[in-house]
Amino acid sequence: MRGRFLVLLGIVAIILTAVSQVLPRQGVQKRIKFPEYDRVTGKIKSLLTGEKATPQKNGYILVEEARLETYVYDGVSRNIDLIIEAPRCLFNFRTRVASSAGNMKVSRADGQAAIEGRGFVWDQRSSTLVISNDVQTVMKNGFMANTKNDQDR
Amino acid sequence: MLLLLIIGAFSPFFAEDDKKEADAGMKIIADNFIYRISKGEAIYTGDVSVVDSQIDIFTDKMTVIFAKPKPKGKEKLKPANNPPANGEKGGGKKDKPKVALSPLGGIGGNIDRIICEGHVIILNKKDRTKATGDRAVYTASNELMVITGGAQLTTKAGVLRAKVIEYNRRTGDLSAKAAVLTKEGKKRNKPAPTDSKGK
Repeated sequence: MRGRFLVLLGIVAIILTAVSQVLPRQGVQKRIKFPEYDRVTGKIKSLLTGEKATPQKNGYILVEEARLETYVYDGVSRNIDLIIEAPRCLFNFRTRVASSAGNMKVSRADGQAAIEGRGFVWDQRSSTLVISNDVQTVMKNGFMANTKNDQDR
Repeated sequence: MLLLLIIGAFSPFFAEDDKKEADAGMKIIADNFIYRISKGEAIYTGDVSVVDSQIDIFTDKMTVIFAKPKPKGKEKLKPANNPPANGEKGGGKKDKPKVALSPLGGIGGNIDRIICEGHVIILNKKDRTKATGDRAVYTASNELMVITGGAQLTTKAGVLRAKVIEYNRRTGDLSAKAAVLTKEGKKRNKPAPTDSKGK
């Protein structure tokens, strides 16, 4: 009786292992949205979207055509602050961290300034952005005061 | 926009002309960049270069610290530790310095301080004026730029070495503590602090 149980247990283990190898590649979702909310105010802090999301191992999700928006609030009105874009990135649903070793771009919503770099980590919970290599910030209006930008906020 | 302040802070060291030319755009190049929205600081590290039509800045590390948001109107009722959304500025058009925008405009709000650390070189492309030091700190509230650590100001008139070189952007006063002015190979002690208008 005990032998049969062990055999059955082994079969179940094999099946589960096989399924676990397959499942991560399944469940591809399109046009995904992963919002992050401020725990105190309940307002949305940032939103990660992607054209396609493919589950990976260890809780990661491969997001293609990733776009992350952060928000600022002027009273009740919500404005887009930053836009972070990457051809693809890995997003850990548990830690809420998005990362990529590839090229990425950060821009202001009005296009007045942009940062490009290679390799980034975005911690959605702490709202921290790290760009690892070849950082270039370009500002269209140079050092001149840009009153328009001020008003945009 | 941090650059706005950087340049604004340093520009009086240099030429104050042709602001239109400065409007041609600028670029910051660095190895790494960290932006902590909730802490209100952006850090460029690793061979940081600020390239503009008027001046260039080179340093090992440049930290931009943004001013804490000031609650406005009804928002004053909120607890102090209850920042809006991403922990940053809720907006508020009052109390904004004239050039107070962050590297990407609205992301960090008004600038409190800009700190350049390690091999700081501020170079005016037009008149070749150069300020160097180990550390340069610009404080927005008093518009004071302080260069320390082997501070040196090189102009056509000579080289001014000092323990501390301070430039008040608001008044245009330049002061140097424990300064030595070297002119055409000759050295002469300069009474400290020494104040002079402009460059």
